[in-house]
Amino acid sequence: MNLYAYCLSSNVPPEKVADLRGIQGTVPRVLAGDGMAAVVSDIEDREVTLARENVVAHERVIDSVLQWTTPLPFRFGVVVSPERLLDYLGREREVLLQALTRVDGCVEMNVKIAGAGERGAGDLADTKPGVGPGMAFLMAKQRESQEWKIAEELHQAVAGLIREKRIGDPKRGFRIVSNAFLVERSRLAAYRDRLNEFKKRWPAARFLTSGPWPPYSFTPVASGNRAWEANS
Amino acid sequence: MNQKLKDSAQGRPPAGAAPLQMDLLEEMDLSLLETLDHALNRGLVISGEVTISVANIDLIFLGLNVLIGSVETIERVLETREK
Repeated sequence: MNLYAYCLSSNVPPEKVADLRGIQGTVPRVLAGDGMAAVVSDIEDREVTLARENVVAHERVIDSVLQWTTPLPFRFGVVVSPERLLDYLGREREVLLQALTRVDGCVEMNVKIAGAGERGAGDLADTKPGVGPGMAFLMAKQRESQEWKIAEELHQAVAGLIREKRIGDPKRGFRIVSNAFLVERSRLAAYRDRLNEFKKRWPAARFLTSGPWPPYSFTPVASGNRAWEANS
Repeated sequence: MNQKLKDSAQGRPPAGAAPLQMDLLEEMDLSLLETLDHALNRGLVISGEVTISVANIDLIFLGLNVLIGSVETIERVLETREK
């Protein structure tokens, strides 16, 4: 028997967890550790399939816990033995408890910024053969700079309303600046108001906003999480 | 995921994203897209204990992932599977 791990919390109510529907139709349960508990499901398999229903089940369980408290979510696909999970909780105890304290009372809100505005350099380079690769490169850099300028102003706009922020790695060729903000639940309304005001000031930019999320971006950085660097 | 829909919003379709027209996507797709971006890219991991097999990923699933720049994750998963 293996455990599928959803999230960690210091005060998740076991009786409520038992009412949830987990991955592969399982009923989640709480595995108590030292000072915290993991929400898990017992599964037979050694791995889970990256399929829509499994990802949705993963998120559904964590999202339900988020209604009661702010957990530290596991990445999709963590399957471990009970012994290994308890060993992890013991070994990383201090780091995990500190992280739980940092995110306590908060949710994650995301803002993605793409394509900073007017018809861009890439479009010109695509449609005008006379624009050489050197010019296209410079224009692309200028466009990238503009996207970061918007991101910086966004950070200033919400600075007083967020506890921490993370900026995603933009080096993916998709010209998207991803911003994750840790927002106290009591400040969500103010955060949304501020964000809506900000978006009006940049009518030509494209925003994708979402949340509230469990604090995926504010979990302790692991080896596979390097794309999300601390920028708080 | 419906909870996310109320807070999920999109701007204009990005220039140069011709293969995928964002304005044709349903809100549910965007919500799934954001869920994937979070659940596959971030969160706690226990070293050596993330094992994902890839199956039943339909085109919209992959296409959306590319749109938000998570293609690296899919490639990483595929590489892991091939090993």
